[in-house]
Amino acid sequence: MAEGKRNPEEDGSEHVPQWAMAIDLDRCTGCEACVVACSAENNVPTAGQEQAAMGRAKHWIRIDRYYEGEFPNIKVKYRPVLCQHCDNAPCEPVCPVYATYQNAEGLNVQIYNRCIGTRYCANNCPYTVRFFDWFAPEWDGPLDLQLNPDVSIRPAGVVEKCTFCAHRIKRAKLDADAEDRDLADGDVQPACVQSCPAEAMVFGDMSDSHSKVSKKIESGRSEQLLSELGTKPRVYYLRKAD
Amino acid sequence: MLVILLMLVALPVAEAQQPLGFSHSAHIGKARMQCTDCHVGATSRDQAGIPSIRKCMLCHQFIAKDHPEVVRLAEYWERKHEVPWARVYGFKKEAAVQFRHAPHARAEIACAQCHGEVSTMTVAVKTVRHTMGTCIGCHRENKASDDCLACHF
Repeated sequence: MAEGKRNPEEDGSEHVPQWAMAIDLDRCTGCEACVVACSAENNVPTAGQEQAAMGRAKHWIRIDRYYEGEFPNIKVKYRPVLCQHCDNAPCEPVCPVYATYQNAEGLNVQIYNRCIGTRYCANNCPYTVRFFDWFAPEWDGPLDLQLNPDVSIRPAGVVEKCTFCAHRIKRAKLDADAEDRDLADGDVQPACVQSCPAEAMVFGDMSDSHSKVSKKIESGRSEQLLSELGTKPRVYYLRKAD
Repeated sequence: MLVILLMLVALPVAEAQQPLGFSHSAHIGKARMQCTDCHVGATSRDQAGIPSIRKCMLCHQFIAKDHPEVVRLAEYWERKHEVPWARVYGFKKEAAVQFRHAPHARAEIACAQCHGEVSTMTVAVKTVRHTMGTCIGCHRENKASDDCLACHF
């Protein structure tokens, strides 16, 4: 890496971004474009009717629905739920083989070939966003031809979950490196953020006070899911105070 | 028993069987070509790439046409077939490793560091073991990331 570039910290060390996401619930229409985009981007296979009925459907991001009022005066509220990349993640200390950990950039990482499939992490996740691969993934043709080569295919017997599109973060960093420039705000867009037609989701570096995501988090509308558990999620939900 | 043991010892290491006797030493050593002349992606893309037969024939329409291996190459060309080269290096799918050539080239890691002295080989053979120790050792030496997520995602 070339010296002298990239917004260095005061001590001269390289700036380490702190990734975070803000989701504006007042904008979310519950269209599930993010769910589809995520599955396509991350090679998440469909479980099939039978397995899904057994609770084995895999969705790295899902839309939770909340109904308010009685029919016909019902109001539906949506909340996209993905791995919250907690700073104090309940999934991490229960893994006996350190297959999941938080890296320097605040990502909650899952290393598939280190995972031995105890499923302790999935059981300990209060957001239920970790999924166990009961079977080797299969795609009916020609869907097997559209797999994303940047994302590993998970074998049977490991736990998988949202990575905040770590491969896109990697790609953006390498592109910036090749062009000898800093990562700019908005250079990294996970598939869900990119696909959101209502632009309800924003992703970025929350250690940069000028980034879009920082401004959303500081807007006074933000809250964290199940914050009373002390998990310190990196996903912030924005909504008008009740 | 002894015979079986001897047979096991004598068995050669499984190497990629190439359809043509392509000589790296003739191209790099003798003709002074660069690795990236054919493996064009090595400095700019994720994958170094294996050249198309069109690239071979750019030169071999004119050069060394009588060489027996070039004659066989021309047969593929006549049939409009690509040469089914066998891959020499590569990670197993189970390794879940995402390797990118470009950043390594930018860090000025010589091709030979991971691929051995291919310039002196005839048919390329695997001489460097790509274990996690190989990668991590070099990463630490060069102060590159040793975060698991640097390669496994």
